[in-house]
Amino acid sequence: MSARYSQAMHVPDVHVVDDLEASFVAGDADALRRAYDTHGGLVYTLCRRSLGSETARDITQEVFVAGWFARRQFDPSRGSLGGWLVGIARNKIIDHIRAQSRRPQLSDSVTSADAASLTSAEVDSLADRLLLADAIAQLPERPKRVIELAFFEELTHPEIAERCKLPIGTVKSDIRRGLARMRRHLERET
Amino acid sequence: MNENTPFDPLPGDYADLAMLARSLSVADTHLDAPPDDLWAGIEALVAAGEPAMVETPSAMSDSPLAPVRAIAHRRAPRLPFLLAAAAAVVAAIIGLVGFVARDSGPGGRRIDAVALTNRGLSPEGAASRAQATLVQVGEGEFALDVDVRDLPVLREGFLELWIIDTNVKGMFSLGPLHGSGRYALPEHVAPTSFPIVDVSIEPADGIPQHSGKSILRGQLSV
Repeated sequence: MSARYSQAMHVPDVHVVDDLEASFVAGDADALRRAYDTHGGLVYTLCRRSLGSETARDITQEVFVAGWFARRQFDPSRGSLGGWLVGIARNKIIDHIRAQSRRPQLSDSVTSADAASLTSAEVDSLADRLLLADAIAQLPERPKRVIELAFFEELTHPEIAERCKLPIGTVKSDIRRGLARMRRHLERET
Repeated sequence: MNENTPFDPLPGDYADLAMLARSLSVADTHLDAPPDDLWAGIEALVAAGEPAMVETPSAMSDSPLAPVRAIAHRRAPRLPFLLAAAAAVVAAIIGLVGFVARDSGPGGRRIDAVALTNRGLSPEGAASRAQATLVQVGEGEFALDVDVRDLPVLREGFLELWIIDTNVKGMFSLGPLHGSGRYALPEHVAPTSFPIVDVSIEPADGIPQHSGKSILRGQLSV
C-alpha cells in the first residue's frame, strides 16, 4: 500500500480543491507559473493537435494570459483548473478555426475537405480525451493501474482483483474514486 | 455494449466516462512539452497587462494583483462540452461496438479510431458514414478496421480506400472497398505519416491515381 495512495484516501471524492487552484484564484505571485507548469502541456497539446505547432504557441500563450486575468471566474467547486483552462483553449481554438475558414481556400477536390481543420465537435472530443487521459495520469499509482485495467484492457472487477492481488472492494473503490476525479476534471461548468 | 463491462456497479452517469475512456488513443496519453520560450511570452503579456485596462499590473512581481476587471469572455464555457463530446461519442458508438468486440479478440491492438464523414465531399456519399479503426496486427504491421454504412450503389466504377498524408500529397491505396472489414496497410508504411482515411469513387479506367472524388473522410489523431 503506497503512502501516496493512503494520502489520497483522505481527499474528498469530488471536490478536490488543491492548493494550486486556491492560489490561482487568489492571484498569488507564483500561481500562474505553477498553473503553467502543471497544465501547460495539456493546453499546448490540445492546441498543437488542433491547429499545428506554430499557431499552438500563440494560442497557448493567450489561454494562460486570458485565464490569469479572468481567474475570478474560475470556480473550483465546479471543476478543475485544468478543465477550466482547456475550456478557454477550446473556445479560442474554435474561434481561430472559424476565422481561418472564412478565408478563401484552395479548392482542389482532395484538399477542399476539412482534412486539416477540425470541427468544433472534433475539438471538443479531443479536449475531453486529453482531459481524461490527464486525469488518469494524475491518479496515484494503484488506482491508476486499476483504472487502466478496467478501461483499456476491459477487465472485470474480479479479473482486476485477481491480477492486482487486491480485495474486490478495493478495486471497486479505486474505480469509483478514479472516475470521480475524472469527472471533476471534465466537468467545468454545469 | 460489452457483457464483461467492469462498470456495472457504478452509477449510470459514469457510462459516458467509460465510453470516452474507450475512445482514447495512444496519442491522447502523451502530452507535448510546450516550447521552452513559451512561458516567457506569457510572462511578458501578463506584465503588459490586459489590453484596455487602466492599471498595468505586474503580475509576476506584485502579489496579489490589485483587482483586475475580469476579462469579458464572450461566454463562459456553457453547455458542458462533455455533453457535446458524449454526443460525438454516441454517434460513433455503432462503430465502437464493432471494435470493442474485435479488440478483445486476437485481432490486434487498437491504436485509434475516427469517424469518416461526407462533410464537404461528393454528394454521392451524402448518406454514407463509416468508422475507421487503426489496429496494430503485428510488429510494424497495421490495418484499418472499417465499418461502413449506407454506401452509395454505383452504376459504374468502384469504391477505393486510401490513407493520405496531411499535406494531401502522398497516399496509399488500401484497395477496393468491398464493405466493412479489415484492410491491411502496406508493410513498412507508418500510419502516423498517413493519418487521413479516405474513400473515393474510382472509375474503372485503369488509372491508379485517386480520382479526386471522395465520399468519406476522417483523420486519425495519431
